[in-house]
Amino acid sequence: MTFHEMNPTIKFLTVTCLMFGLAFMYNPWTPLVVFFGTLVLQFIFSDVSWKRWGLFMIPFLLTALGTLWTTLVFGREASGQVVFSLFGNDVTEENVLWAATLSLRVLAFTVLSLLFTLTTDPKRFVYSLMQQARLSPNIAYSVFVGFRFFPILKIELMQLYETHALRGVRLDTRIDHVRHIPKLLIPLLAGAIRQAERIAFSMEARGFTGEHRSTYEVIPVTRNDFLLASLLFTLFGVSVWIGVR
Amino acid sequence: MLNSWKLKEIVLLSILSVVFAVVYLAFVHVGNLWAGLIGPIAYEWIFGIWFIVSIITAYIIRKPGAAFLSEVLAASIEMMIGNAIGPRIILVGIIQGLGAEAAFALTGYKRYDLWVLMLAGFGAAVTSFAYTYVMGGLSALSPTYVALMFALRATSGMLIAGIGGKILSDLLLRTGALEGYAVTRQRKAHG
Amino acid sequence: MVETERLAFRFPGEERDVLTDITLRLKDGRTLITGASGSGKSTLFALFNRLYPDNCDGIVTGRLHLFGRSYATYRPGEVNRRVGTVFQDPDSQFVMQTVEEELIFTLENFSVARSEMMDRVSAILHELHLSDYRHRTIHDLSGGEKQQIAVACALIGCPEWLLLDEPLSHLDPATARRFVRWLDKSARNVNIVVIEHRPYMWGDFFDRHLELVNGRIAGDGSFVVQPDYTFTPIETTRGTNILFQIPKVNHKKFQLAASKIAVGPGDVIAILGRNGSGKSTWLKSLARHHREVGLVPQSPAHLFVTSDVSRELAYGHNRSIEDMLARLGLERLRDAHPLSLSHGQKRRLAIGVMLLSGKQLLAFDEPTAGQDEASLRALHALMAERVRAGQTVLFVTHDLSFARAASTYYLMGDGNLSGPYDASIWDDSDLLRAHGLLTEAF
Repeated sequence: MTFHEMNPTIKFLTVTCLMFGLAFMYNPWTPLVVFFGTLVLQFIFSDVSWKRWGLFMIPFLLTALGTLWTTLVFGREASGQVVFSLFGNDVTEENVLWAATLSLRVLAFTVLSLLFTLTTDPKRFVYSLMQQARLSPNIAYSVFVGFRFFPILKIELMQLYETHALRGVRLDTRIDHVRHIPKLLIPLLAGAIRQAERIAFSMEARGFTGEHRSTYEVIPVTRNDFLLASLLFTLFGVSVWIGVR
Repeated sequence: MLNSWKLKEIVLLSILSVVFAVVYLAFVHVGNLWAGLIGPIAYEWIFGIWFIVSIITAYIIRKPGAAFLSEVLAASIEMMIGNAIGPRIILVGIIQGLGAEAAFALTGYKRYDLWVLMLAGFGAAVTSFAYTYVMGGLSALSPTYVALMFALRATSGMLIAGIGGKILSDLLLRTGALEGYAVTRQRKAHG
Repeated sequence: MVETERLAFRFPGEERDVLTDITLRLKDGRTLITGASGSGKSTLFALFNRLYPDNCDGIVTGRLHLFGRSYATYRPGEVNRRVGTVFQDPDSQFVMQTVEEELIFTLENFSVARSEMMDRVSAILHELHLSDYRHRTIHDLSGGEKQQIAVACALIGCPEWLLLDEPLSHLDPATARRFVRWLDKSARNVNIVVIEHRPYMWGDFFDRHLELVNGRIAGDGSFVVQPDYTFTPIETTRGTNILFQIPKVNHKKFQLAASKIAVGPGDVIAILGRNGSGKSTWLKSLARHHREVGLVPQSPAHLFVTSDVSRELAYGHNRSIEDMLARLGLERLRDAHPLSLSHGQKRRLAIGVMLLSGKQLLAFDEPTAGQDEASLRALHALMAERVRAGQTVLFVTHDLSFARAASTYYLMGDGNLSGPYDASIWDDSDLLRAHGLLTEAF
């Protein structure tokens, strides 16, 4: 029983519900408990690279810090005892509590997100949405076409850089390359749009209509999916209980 | 909703979503650079970037659902290629997409003038701001600061997504790649 | 399979018909359809597999029957169970990542039962001698391999007819010849229709030959083996030699040895080699290291950095562009977007760009791929004109017929450049064969 095997649609719904619930919890304890609880669950029921996890976490630590001090400085006027003064603003106890809640919420959102992202294979997710959430095969297979476009677009981009350098466009440094990207967007898109039409035709020529298809890759719903989902919901319940107590 | 769509239009929608998912993700990093320093307001002035795919797609395909679906797809693909906001970003996509879609629905999907595109950018700004207000707990901030954030986001939506989307689409139109899509046909019909 | 009577077809909003007065009956066997670009061949195909008229809202008049029933009575996808199609561009006809997934995608479309799928996949791969490719990622395959997989995907549904739309145009001659022989051997139980600009590649593959001119049938009869188009050497006026040195290149996949070529102004040089021999990499390296070399890539569109023709010509210098616009015949298109031009116009614009930035050596990368005869003749004339004006023309190609336009030759094989050779190279078939250029005579 791992999060990797969990049905992606059920996993997606569970994680989304938890995040939505978190948004209505106005105390610092709930997000804090969710943060650590999710970490523990992920540690037990999944096998992810914690180095990757850490790398993804860094920008959100920054956001959490930004949120913390924005809420302190630009916080709305609140009652309570003044704890300290920042840039001429009186910061009250309530302000501090708010700031802690909001920045912890950012962190709790992030661990939940990473729990989903790092254990979910995009292809399985799309298959599962088709089978469990009745996503239209037209959209699902167009998304698969989209996935195939990443390497194609990358090669196209390289070729554009190479030939544009020969035209005398300054492309010496990394920053030059970044600065040149807006100019590449139109040729890149124009080429991709032409290819999209050809791929759509070839799909139809192979009998794809979006209806009356059989399915090879079956993504099952099992008892374990509900077990994992209830573990997460229990965690949320406990965190709410601790928070409001 | 998709019955009147041709497969080539759905594939086009998906490809546009892929390209803009990459653009979106790049701008998340641009925003992040600032956000640590000046807080969430760092994202506001570039927020229009994140509405642009719905405006371009609706402008090209001109069918109900184009704005909404493209934004949701772009958000989903963004999540799969590594936006650690994760599943929540799909919700964000849904909400922004609904805002933009509403503007096109108001005109009965008949008008795609610049002002409609700007209205769509504004619509996306309104719905997405409502979402930020709840999820980000903006009620904790002073009303003036919140108003400033909203004004920035709405302007950005109208300028970057509305006007920017129109400029980009018209450039694409000139390359001839959109032959056979509604945007070219309607233009021909009007002379 | 197809029966038409006075069939005509028009795109919506257009005044002219693309196809006019087509009356034909496709009989079992192997049929070749030829015709210049824009003659309506691909449109005819799209009516055969019912991509049109639905996809473009085109207007059909006259009678069009598929398998004895009017085209209008077919449900979407219905006819595609009986007609398989392979398209021209190897890079835009797949949906999934691996060969196996792609084959399964097709079986799912035909509602084949899940329990049968693996057997069907194994069977078709075995029949076509492609079993080794089963778990390969499609993106990593070569152009020729991709086309073989496209055939497998078309045949796995057991169609009665197989349509191929210029399937060889991105392959080098040896690969193309191998593909044709493989198809000849493997596709025994299916009727075949092929669209092709250069029928000589197919040897005696066909029974019947249909020719389209301007949307009408101009010829219909038994197939006769034909030689390829012939090109005469461009007259050269050779000046004193300049030596170009090209340093060694270390690529991830292969190495390019250091090389040098001696080039006289007014010369026409062809670099010959098969796909993947390193000739395009060599050409890029030549252009990178020598400022007087102007590279025209295989798709000239890659060169363009602005959004109209006049700004494109004016980019990077302050000479006048008026004279050049006139010479290229692009005056009326000065405000057009470079990417909206036809292939021939793009190529002329690219040359204009090179000349205005003072490039004296025009280097073309694979300029003949996917071109019809008229376009090849235009390219020949354009090169002759540049040589007369004193520039040097160099091109990299695997097209041995067009290569006759040159007077100096170099050979590229596995990253090693050898030469120069003169026209006597054509008598040395062992040398050409060793470079994967010559297959047996057709």
